[in-house]
Amino acid sequence: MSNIVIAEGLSKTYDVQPVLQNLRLQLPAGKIIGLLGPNGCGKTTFMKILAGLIGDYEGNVTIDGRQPGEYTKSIVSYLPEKTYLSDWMKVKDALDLFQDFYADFNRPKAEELLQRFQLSPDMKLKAMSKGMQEKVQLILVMCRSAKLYILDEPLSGVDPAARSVILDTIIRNYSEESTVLFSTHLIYDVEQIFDDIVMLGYGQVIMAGEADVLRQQNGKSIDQIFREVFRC
Amino acid sequence: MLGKLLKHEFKASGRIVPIFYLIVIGLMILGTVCRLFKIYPIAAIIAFLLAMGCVAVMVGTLAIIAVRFYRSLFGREGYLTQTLPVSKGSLVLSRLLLALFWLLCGLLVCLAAVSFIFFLLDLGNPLERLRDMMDMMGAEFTGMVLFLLVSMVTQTLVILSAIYFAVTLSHTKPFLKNNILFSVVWYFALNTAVGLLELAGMLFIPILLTTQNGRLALHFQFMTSNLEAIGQTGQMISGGMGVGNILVDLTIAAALLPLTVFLLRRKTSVK
Repeated sequence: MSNIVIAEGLSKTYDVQPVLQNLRLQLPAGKIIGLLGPNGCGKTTFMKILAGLIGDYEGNVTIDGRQPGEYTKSIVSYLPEKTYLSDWMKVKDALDLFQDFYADFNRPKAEELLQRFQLSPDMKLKAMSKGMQEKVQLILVMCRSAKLYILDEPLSGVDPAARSVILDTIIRNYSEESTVLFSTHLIYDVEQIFDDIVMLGYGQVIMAGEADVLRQQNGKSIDQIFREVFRC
Repeated sequence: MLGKLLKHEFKASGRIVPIFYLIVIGLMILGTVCRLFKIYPIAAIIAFLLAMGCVAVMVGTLAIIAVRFYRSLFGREGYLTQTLPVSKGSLVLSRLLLALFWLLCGLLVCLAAVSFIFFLLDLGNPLERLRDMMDMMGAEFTGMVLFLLVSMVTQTLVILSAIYFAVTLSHTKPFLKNNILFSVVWYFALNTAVGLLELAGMLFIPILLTTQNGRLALHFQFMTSNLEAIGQTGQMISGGMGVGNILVDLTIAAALLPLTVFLLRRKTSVK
């Protein structure tokens, strides 16, 4: 199986604080991969490097054999933790933007999902709750036929009912040839969907492998393994 | 992709910038009413407000351009903008082109406002007044207007490239923690440096714009020769002015813009 992401010697420092330290990681294509770790371990930084938001890092990272740039941004669909759409936008403005810039964006599918979530294209984002805005962003991201989906804490700050809907949207709408890189703190709720797990700690890979294999080897759930590894 | 970037950036900035124009247009309407009903004291106040309005239009437009550049590339929106499958060069160029468009619109609004002030205060035809002033200086009207336009364009390019470079530089590692403060600091530092370089260009690049017999001409001569003549004889050789500053402006803009793109590509992070 080929690797969609290869990171070698990846390091990144904020001020004097190292966030990623000589990270070495390969992410296989066609899997749902859980990126787990405590706060400040480098998950978001790693995802931002893959998304092309951080240019000043050391080491090497490739996505589909290319360094982060125009091409990789066309095959990566990134959902950050924060809302990034402007408040003045209506939902249809966001749809127009995605349609204009992403050749793989499926607008009819996005409109169908918006209707299912009872989100009108004429609604202003300013008038929406946080949960509604996150749903809009998730729909935009998941209605692309990307090779790599990067979802940074898509379930944070969302109620349990909405969490199920979001998880369902992710699973139903990603292409099986694609890779989903999914970071979350809600491991117990989500671990069943993961094919592979990567646990980061202190800017390095602490543990990585197939989720089922890790469960069998340890005789525990991923959530229990995580709690043991990162016990305070 | 450049067209699409322009379209979406126009949508974003087009909600804010025209507000200044509407204020100026509103004042012009009020002024017309005052003129019709011969309420001269209020007409005079409106003329003053219009003059202030012109300043507000240009300064406000520049401020919005700077804030839009910061927000769209390094604020929350930066998570969207900087993950679009477009080159960093296109991102900067789209903002530059739109900034030039808004500044041109602002200039046209200001020209309309100034013409209206002349009308409001019965000062006659502004074009004729300008022509008279040029004749008094011995300058050719068309040539002088062209020179002023070229100067304005190059100055605008330098100001915009300095803003973009300052904001981008402040998002590199050494300055990221206090990026807003450093954006301002870097801009004023660059502005000062540019001013000094422009002066040096004016004095030491041997291109002189002179007026002879009411006609503008370019000479390959230092402006300092003119200054020496003033010192020795108390008179200028031919009303000459060094225009090397225009070349300096173009060079600075040509250097700062690619540097900005390089920093965006390799040295910055979206917080």
